[in-house]
Amino acid sequence: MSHSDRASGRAELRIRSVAMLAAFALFLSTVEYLIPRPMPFVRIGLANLAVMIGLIALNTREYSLLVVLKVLGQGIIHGTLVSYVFLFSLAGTLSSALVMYLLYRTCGKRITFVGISVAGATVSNSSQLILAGVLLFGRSAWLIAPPFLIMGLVTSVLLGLFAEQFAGSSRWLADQEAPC
Amino acid sequence: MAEMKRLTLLDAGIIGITVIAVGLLAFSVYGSREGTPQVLIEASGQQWIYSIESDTVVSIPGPLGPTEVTIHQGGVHVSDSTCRNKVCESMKTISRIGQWIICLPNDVFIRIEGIETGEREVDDVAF
Amino acid sequence: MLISSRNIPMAAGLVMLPAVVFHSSVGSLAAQVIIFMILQIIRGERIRMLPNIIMIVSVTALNLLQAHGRVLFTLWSLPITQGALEIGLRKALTLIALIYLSRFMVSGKPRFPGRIGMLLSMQFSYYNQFLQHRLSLKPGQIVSSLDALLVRMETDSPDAVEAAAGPWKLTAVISAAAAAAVWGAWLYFKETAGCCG
Repeated sequence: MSHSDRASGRAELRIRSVAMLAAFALFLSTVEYLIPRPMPFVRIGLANLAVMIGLIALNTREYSLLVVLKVLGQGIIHGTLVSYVFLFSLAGTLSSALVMYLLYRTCGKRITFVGISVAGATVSNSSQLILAGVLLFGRSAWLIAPPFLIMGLVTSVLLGLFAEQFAGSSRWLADQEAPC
Repeated sequence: MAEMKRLTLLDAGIIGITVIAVGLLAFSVYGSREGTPQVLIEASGQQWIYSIESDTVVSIPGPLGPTEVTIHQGGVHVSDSTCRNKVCESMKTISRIGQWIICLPNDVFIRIEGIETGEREVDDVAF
Repeated sequence: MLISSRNIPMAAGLVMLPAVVFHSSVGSLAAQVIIFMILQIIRGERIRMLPNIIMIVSVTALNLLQAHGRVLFTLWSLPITQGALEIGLRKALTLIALIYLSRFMVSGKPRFPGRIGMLLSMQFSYYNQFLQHRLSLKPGQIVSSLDALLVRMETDSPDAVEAAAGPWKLTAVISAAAAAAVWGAWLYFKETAGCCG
């Protein structure tokens, strides 16, 4: 009895962690939204930080839940639920979340968050560029592709360094139970 | 204090591949000056431009009435014309740079060009 | 729960959605954007024009690079074609209309059913906490202050914030009027819109 109580209590706590990280992703994308951008489609991808933290703290199921909540939450808070922007966010988040998950789980110590972050950002930006080509810009999407990808590379290296530092020093992460 | 790990070989590899891929992409996007072939239509002193890859049917006004030009799967042909002899309708579909179709009675000139047609004056029609 | 007044704008938005994305002309999209802006003003929110202008200019400019249709004039050796102009404007206006439409759809603070709905409301209440505590993230020590914030938030136990729903009759009337206007614009501009995509 008490055992199952404790188990459900723990599950409740872990769900809270998922919701908190999802909220953190939302907060980061709001911060990003406030930073002025030269072009409406140049993104920094700050919210990816929350997903990277999720890689460490969550198990596969919780991680998928985090990804779904991030996309849905952003669509609702920024009011883009039915717009192309939502499709961009969906394609970018799903593709990068998958790639980062695979790299993190298969490469272990051979990779740091810098590599994971760069791979995630590049995959995310590429899928968004393809969508932009189809939906908005036509062929001219290729013209904005190189600066877009370079920006993504620079910011993702910085984010990766940040995630690496967070992973090494976070008290919150240490309190989380190791994901099963 | 956070202890920074060194970047691994895999990190460097991912960054390197990304840089190379973006470099190649930039080179192919900005390096080559020739775009996709464009269909240039001139009629009654006006000009129309379409990509050869745009599947579209265009109606071009002429002195005798509209001429219908069809661009489909990388080829161009006149699908309907109001002129009497219908020579242009019987002409073969064109698809390569330099090829042309002319509809003399209705003053419609269709040709395929390789490079941006921007410098061309609107009124240097040869007929 | 699905028919609660919070979900009326969401439902109305789904009714309006096809009128925006389905063969909408430049004229009807422009009219629809204005309708959505009016809705936003009725809700008491500000309209920011600059992002819209940047969006229209950048999307249209990039589409002009791919010539399509009658040459209107030549700008620095770039032929400005009517078709490309229309395509660019239509794409930019569609995006803007959709963004306003989705803002309207979530304006009622919709409730979503099920487990995901429960998680979403938990997420939003944590999000509000992040917004309130954002000043405690100090630039010099982002990592440690972020960490402290996460720890602090986990010990508080927030419950889903219950925002009061607006008067549902008014919401329903406004939503119905908006849907009628948006479809009216679609119908009105349908025939008069000049040809060619």
